[in-house]
Amino acid sequence: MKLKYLSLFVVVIALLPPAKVVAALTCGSCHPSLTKVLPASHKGYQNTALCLVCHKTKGKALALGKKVHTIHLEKQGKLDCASCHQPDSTGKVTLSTGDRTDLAAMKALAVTFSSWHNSTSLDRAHKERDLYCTDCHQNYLNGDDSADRCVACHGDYDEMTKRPSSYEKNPHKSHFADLRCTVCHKGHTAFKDSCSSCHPFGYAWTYKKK
Amino acid sequence: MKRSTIALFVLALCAVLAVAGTPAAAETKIMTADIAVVGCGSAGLAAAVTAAEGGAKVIVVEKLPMAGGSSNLAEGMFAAESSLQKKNYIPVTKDEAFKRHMDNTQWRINAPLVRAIIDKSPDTIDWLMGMGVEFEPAALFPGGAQTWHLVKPHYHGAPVVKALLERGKKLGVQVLYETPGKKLIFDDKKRVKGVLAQDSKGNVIQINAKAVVLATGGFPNNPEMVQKYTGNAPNELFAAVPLNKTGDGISMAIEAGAAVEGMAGMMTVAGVVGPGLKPFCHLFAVTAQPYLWVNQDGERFCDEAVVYRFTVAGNILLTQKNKVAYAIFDDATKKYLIENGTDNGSGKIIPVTTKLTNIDNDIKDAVNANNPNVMVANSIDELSGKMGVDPARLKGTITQYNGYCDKGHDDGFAKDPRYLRPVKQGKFYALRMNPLLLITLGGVKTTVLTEALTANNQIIPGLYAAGNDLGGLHAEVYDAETTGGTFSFAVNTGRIAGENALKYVKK
Repeated sequence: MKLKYLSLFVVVIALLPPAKVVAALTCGSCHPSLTKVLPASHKGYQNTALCLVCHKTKGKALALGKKVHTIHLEKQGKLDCASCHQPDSTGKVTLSTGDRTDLAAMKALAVTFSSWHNSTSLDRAHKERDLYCTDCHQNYLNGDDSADRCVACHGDYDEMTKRPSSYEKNPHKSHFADLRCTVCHKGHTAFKDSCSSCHPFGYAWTYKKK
Repeated sequence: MKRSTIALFVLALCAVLAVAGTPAAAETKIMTADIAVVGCGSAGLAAAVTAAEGGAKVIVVEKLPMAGGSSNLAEGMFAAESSLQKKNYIPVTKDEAFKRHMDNTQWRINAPLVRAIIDKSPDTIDWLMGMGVEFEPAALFPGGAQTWHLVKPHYHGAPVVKALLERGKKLGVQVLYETPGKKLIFDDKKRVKGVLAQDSKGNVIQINAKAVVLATGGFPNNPEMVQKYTGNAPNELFAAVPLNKTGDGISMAIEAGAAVEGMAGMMTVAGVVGPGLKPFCHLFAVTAQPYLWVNQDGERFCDEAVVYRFTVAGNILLTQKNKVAYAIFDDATKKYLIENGTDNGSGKIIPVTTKLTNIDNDIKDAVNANNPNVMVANSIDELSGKMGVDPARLKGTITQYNGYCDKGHDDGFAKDPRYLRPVKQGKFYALRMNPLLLITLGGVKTTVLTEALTANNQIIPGLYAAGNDLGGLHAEVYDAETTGGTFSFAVNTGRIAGENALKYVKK
């Protein structure tokens, strides 16, 4: 019965211009019984506002975003951002990092989330190590250069070149003191050989150590 | 069932919003600094570090995803009377270096600024050594002044860039990568009040600053500007260093009313390139040797020892038909280069005396790849056919040249007899050489303090230029005798710009 009213409400707001849309959906909207979706250790939790007390974007417990996005991607195969993230009266969505965006930009973000969930790129490899977007990025949207984060965990070029390599030419030992790691090691798409943009003959990869 | 109905409605909602909502609009982010620097090469970094050492807050915007630009590749920098030269009893004085540079550029340049740079050059070497950079003094060619301070250990400038970056980081210099500067902004009194840049996501970054230093490295990778200012079409002059230096700083300055000078000046080198050949392979080193060169008419046109002042060799090609020339040699010379080594280096990358043991492999690779610039023949007739040169004229030239070799005097162009090697034994080879553009030398006209000037010699308050964005240092040629000139002039003009921008913003 209640759900019927909700459906009606959604239809009404769908027909309104975006500026008048008001956030309406919570976990409870789709999951009337949270006990069914939460792990046994969380028995008794019913107020979803409490999730973020432990599952902050930075903290001991896994980020809520990692858990929720993972489970929805597993179940649905893709993310429908607006199912949960509803625009406010100005048409903008506020994300947990405080960034504000619109639904069109969030759709683009869904592609990145899918890659993080199930690709052969670095984002997936990081997810497998329990890392979430905010472990590398300041925010979800734009403007931040995550290369400094690479160095914080993996070390700088001096450290990288000390590691054993199976190639005679160590690509981490280049002319460029601070070439951004992400120029080659793309987070959300395939690896790109930057050396080859000037040395187009497989410079780094031709000479494997015997 | 009901849940799926909701999902459907939510999807409908999404669709409506996707149509009604505008796509993610680029934002404008506003940042504030005392001094904004456009370009994070050695000029920009030197300006940033110098200003930050004086207490200024500096933000640097850089188009590429890394710092240093072509300074990472420059082998060494000029200085006279440096502590290192004194230590090694290298007697070159600042006065001598200044006079030579002025004579070679025929005083058609900014003499006070060049004097200031040369006077500052020894201190700059000490400044960089203080940051941990190590240098090794050297000359570029036989008998050349040892003004070159090669950057150890690989004779690449990367350690200079790294040292400046680290020093800048300690001083709080902020570098924004993949954020090219786009436009200068001015207040109502026509004083610079900042710069607009654009990050990789399309956001406009507005940096409000009291002074701006332009140091984006000139325009070698902008074919339209190269054609407009140097008169060479993109198919005649090949930009050999693909670092996306498209004249951003110079264009911004021109848009703001600045004058430019020396814009036809280029650093070029003659070389063989094309399919199958790696940059700086052994066959490339052959084009740096002072042996027989002919043009498209099959005629000699210079004393080939111009190769010792590499940029002269590049520039001279631009005067010839089709802007090409051919290095001609035979099996005997090839054997000499393999067994005895080279008579001239390709910079320090293939140092002089290197035994070119890989020539045959390089030739094979080029021929297999159908490289049109590498020709092998069993006779001069066959060779001239491949070169598209009249066989009688080529034969005439070679016969005459072999005669000079026999008698030990070059009646044609008075080349040093040590470099007279005949062309007569075994197979014959021709390498078609093109002029390769390394950097451009012209740029913004400035005062001795590197303040940008208008065409009426009015200072544009708060606007400075450095490095290859600054004209007036080289006239229309790169003077190879001021070896390490562009790298050194970049760091020194960067320091001068940083010092004066600092004074200006503190006023």
